[in-house]
Amino acid sequence: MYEAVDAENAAAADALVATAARLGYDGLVVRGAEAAPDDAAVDVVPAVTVDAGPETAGSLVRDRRAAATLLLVRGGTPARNRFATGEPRADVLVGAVGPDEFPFDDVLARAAARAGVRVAFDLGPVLRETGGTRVRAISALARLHDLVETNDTPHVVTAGADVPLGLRAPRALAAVGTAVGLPDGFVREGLREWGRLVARNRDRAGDDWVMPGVRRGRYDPADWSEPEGDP
Amino acid sequence: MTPRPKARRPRWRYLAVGVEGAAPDRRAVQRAVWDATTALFGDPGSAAVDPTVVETGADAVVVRVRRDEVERARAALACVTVVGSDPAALRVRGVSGTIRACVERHLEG
Repeated sequence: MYEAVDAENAAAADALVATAARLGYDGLVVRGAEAAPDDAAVDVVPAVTVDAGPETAGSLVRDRRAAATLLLVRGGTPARNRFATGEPRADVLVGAVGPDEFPFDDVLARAAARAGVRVAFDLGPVLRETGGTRVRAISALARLHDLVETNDTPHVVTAGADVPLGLRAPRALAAVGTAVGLPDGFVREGLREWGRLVARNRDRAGDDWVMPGVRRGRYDPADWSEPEGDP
Repeated sequence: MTPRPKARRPRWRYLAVGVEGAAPDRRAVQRAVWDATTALFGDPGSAAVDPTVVETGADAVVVRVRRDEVERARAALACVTVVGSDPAALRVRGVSGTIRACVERHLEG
């Protein structure tokens, strides 16, 4: 299982990676940090986040796609969410909904499913916020889950940590998910989905890959164990 | 009052919980765990889980919860972000059926 974190610098990334290894993660998607340790106990996956309006996000996605294994697009407004869910080069839509607004609907959920964009469920506000903000975050999660399940949209789950104390073990996240009304297995599935995305993108970055279903070289059935979760 | 037969007494599980970022002070951890449980499950849920700090170690505590409520307790512990006035995280290291087994397996190992 994989988790995704924001790291300000290499030292912060190292600390997060060490904690993730201790908590039993197989890998860690690190956003923001320029350098990540190579000899880590977990698989460290570099990722970039595109945080821009739809008028500039297109060119940013094009520029940064090759720079990192995972490309995340930050949503949060109707226009941003519409852009991200219609962009097949994006891997994950993060921050699609906030505690105060819900610019996501069935149309976008279907578009995300078609484009293979995973919708991120951030359990961070459930873990760290209190009072009304937390209540609204929980109800937004439930509403988002409803849309994602109805439209078969793939999803990922994260605790949105940026410091080691913010990371939670997979089992703790699963328990929190159940406590806020997400079905059994939903959180674990979302944590596994990061790993599947990483495997798929690494496969695509390899020399043999041409396009989905097409590989260079002689036919060998062993090569056709495509990673799951391909759109 | 006569003690109830053993089979009818409440059943407990003991969670070995590592305290990171703060000292494992019994009162502070107990307060943080109660607050988190009440915030997540309300007063009836908190009473059902009944988390109680029963033992403290160098960097961990033992939390007693009702046997059928271990997962809810796990969720509540995950929501603890402050112990006393320090940012902290509570991490469940293991679950045992007795305090002694909990201490021997998860705190002294």
